[in-house]
Amino acid sequence: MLLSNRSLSAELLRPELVKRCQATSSVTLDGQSVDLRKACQVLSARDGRYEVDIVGPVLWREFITRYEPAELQRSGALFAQGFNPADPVNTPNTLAADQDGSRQSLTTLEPHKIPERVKGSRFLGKDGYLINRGSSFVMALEYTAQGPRAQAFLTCSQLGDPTSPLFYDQTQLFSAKKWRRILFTEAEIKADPNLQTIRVTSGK
Amino acid sequence: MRTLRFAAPHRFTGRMWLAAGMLSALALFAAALIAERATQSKPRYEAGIRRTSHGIPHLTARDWGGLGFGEGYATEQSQFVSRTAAS
Repeated sequence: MLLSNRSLSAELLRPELVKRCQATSSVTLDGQSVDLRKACQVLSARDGRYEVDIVGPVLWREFITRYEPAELQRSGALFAQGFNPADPVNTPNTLAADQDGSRQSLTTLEPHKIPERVKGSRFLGKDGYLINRGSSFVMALEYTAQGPRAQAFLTCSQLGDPTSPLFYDQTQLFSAKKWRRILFTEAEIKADPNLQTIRVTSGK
Repeated sequence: MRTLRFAAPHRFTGRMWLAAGMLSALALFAAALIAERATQSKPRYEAGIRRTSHGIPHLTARDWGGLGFGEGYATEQSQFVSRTAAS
């Protein structure tokens, strides 16, 4: 669940969007014809989850971030049925009828610019997506007869020094869904292959 | 009665009690001074920082003050660069 990379927007809208782009092999934008077939195929592959080994999630992210954040809730450019407080589980839903806005968004599905910088992207820079939100510290812990047994992700990594590998090593573990153990006992600490010990003192 | 005299060779007069009291007070004071000197010759706070894989710090200390000192020290080791860069 924690590492399932599910996307609510993709689950709500992707099947219908795929259906529409399959029915529309090309669109015209700024006087140019844009072929949607390859993008459509990328988008229809797999299950719409934000996994790192496929292009689809980038495409989906670029599509969904063309809309104002408010559009992710109300009925209008993106959703036909907006969020309804009386039915919070089932709303919003249903991709809006094809309008100019969503047609323009469809053209972002043109795949030639991926994974390079996508024209007009709000978030995709030359170094990829900036990590500035999301999970920070994630821990799973079990109490056993021998004491606590736990593993964790520190998604921002331990050090604040960008020149150190410890600035991003745990971020990469999180990306690869690889937990690291939390060491509790003397034996566990002493057995660590990278153990370094210092003694620090204050003034008198 | 000899046995009793042996156990208490002198009868303690009021003045002797006073002298003994002053002596023991002095001894206590001296002991306190020496203890204070001993404390002062050591750092006020002391801690051990062991870093394991991924730079995770594990602290050891004899008291809460040392533990707090070690915690602050380890945090600054980890974050000093980002803190100074941000300001």
